[in-house]
Amino acid sequence: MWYKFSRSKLSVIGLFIVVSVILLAIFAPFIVPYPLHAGAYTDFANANQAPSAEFLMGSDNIGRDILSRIVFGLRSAITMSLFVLAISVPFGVFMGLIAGYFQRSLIDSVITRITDIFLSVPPLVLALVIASLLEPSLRNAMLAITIMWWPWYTRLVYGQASSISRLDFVRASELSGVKWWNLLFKEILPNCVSPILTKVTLDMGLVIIIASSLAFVGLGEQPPAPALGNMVADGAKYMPEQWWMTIFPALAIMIVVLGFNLLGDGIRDLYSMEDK
Amino acid sequence: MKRTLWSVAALIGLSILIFSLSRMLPGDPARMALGPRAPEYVVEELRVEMRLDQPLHIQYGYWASGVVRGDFGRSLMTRRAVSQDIRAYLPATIELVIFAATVQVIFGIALGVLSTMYNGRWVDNIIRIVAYLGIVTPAFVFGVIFLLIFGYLWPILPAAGRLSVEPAITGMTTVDSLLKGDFSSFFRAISHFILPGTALAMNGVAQLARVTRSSMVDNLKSDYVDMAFSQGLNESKIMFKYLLRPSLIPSVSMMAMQFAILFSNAFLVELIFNWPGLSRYGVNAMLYKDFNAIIAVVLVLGIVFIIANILADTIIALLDPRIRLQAGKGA
Repeated sequence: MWYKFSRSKLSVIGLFIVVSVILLAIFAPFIVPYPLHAGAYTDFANANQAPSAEFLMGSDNIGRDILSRIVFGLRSAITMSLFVLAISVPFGVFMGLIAGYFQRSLIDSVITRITDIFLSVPPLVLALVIASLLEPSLRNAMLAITIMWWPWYTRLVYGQASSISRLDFVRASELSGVKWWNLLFKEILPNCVSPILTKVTLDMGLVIIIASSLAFVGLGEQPPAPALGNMVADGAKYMPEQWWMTIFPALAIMIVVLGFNLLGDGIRDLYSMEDK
Repeated sequence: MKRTLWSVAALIGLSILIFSLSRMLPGDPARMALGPRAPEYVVEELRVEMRLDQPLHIQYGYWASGVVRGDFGRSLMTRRAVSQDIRAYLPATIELVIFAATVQVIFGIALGVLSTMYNGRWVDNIIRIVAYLGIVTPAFVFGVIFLLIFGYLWPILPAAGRLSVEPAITGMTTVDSLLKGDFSSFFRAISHFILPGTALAMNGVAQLARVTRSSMVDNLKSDYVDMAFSQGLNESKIMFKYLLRPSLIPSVSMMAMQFAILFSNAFLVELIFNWPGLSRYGVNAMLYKDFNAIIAVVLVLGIVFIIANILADTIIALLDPRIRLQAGKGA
């Protein structure tokens, strides 16, 4: 399996990025040069420093080290993505499974209509609205994204589950008395794993994009916490003189998302190779 | 047709959801409208006026009957009728999104075709790498980078706001200046679109280039293309006449989704370029907790989304004779 995966250089690069970002996130307090700078810290003597040996990516308008803040920003971005997906994926998948299995029943139509409601406006807009109705904070931003994320998995699994439940082997096991929940989790779910896994990997990046967009607008994690979106928005006020305040956090977002995308594509190729 | 009805039903569901959320959450809209210093009896009067003292479903009933008549209530932020605000801000957003969509279609498909023609060679590889970067970069990052480069370092294009053409006829600056036959302000209006429009479009250009390429490369292997080659037709004729048209179907259905994404990314891009559109209005309403305005913006976007889907279905039917014929039979 690793042999097949490693044949694509891009997937290996993706895996490398993802692993290093996760390691950075876990060990952030021990790695960064100025762990204190991730919070409400001021050092006006060192404000607005251009990138140098002391501040590798420069310092911001109140003297905090940009590099340290980016690493902590990555940490909260990764935590947030994991949290959002850990809740929305199982929930969405479960909904899709039962809706797909009990076709044309009341459950099916109720679930389908509810997902329709959530998919009737662009995803970012819905996240913005929910986040704004609640008080803006990291927790509420996570909640808002989780609420709008599960229907995509329901939709993804629904198609798979409904076509599989029409196959003969499912009918046969039903007739021989296998309980429906056993069928769902032991027969139908394993057949949906590869698209789910691919989507989860790609979504790690997408959640980071949406979360940083929320923070960029001011409806996500609040200062002084180092959210990447906040840092880009803050830095934009000091352009072009203090370009490092914006450009480095922006690059950080791009690199993480790139990593998850490359890895996701790699996983998809792996499964489509197995199909052949 | 049935799909459209269901989407309208979904929108109604969405409005119920957001309406109840906005009313059930802690915080008193009347108090927020008047500020912390207003005397209690004035707040109480406003509460009665806003019908906050009545049960939720009755509040919703009043609100919905207003919406049907085109009345979304009053905005706490601008103190004007929300419908008036929307009329003032929507044209700017529609214009921006249409500009971005045009950029997407032209460049996305052109890059896809180019990539297919040079399949496997360096042009193809460069396009694919650039497309990958375009997909992983959030729209607001493009906005900020464009602002840095073209707004400050090499200021050749206007980086903030848009031209105002008086008197406003449609509210769209390009259309208005053309209607008046004023070409110099038409070109100045266009120049205001380039930075925000391109920043908004980048993501979709990349997606579209990828989808177009992969669908064309798939079709390249099909028998009818082989036959065209073996009959000695020249390459560009095969590319554009026989290969491109069927290959565009996945691209068009993606465009419908992209159109919706353009509207949501407009929320970020309008903020960066200080564009006086509906999305900037929406973001400000959200930061201000101006519920009437928030719900109205979401519903307007929902309607646009439905229209985009209908358009996409129509275009796909035009491209694909199989679907068109089936629909003609009334199947």
